[in-house]
Amino acid sequence: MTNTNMRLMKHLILALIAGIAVWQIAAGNSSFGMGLLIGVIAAAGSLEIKQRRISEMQKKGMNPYDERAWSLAGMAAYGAIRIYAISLAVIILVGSIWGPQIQVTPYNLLGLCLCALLGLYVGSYYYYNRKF
Amino acid sequence: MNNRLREMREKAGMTQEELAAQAGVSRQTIISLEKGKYNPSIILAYSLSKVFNISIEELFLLNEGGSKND
Repeated sequence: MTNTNMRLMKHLILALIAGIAVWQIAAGNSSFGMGLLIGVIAAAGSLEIKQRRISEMQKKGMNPYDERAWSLAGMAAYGAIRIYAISLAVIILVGSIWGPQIQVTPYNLLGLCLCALLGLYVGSYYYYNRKF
Repeated sequence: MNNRLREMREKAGMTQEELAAQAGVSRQTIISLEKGKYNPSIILAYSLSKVFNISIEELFLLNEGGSKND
C-alpha cells in the first residue's frame, strides 16, 4: 500500500469513527459519543503533527523510518508484550484467589487492556529510544 | 564498538542533519552513533564510510573482548 493510500485509509477510518460518534450523540448516548469524538479529534491532531514532522524530515532528505527506528520498534514491541503478559498473569492469578468478584462490561475491559498495551508500547519505545 | 564519526563529520565541516540526509537516516540515528549507543548494520556502516570516502575499518573500530553491544 502506498503512502497516499495509507493516509486516505487513516482519514476514512477517522471519518467513520467521527460519524459513529455523531450518531451516538444524536441517539442520546452523549457521554460515549462525546468521548469518541474527543478521541477522534485528538487522534487526528496528533496524526497531523506526526505527518508534518515526517514530511519535514523527508524534504531535508532524511529517512524517519530508518533501521534504528525499526530496531527500536521491535525492541519496544517485545518489551511491551513481555511486561503485559507477565503483569496480566500475576493479576489473573492473584485476583482469582484473593481479588473481589466484580462485574464489568466486556467491551470496557477490552478497551482498558488495549490502552494498557499501547501505553506499555509507548513507554518501552521511549525507554529504548533513550537507551540506544 | 567505537567509531570516528564525530571526528570525521567535524573534519568534513558537516552538520548532523547533513550527514543524516546523505546517509539516508534520521538525525537521531547520527546522534546515537556518535555517542556509541547504537551499532549500525553493515549497510549503514558502508553508507557512512562512503560519505567520507574511507573504509569501514577506518570509521568503525571493534572493541576486542567487549560485549555484544559495545
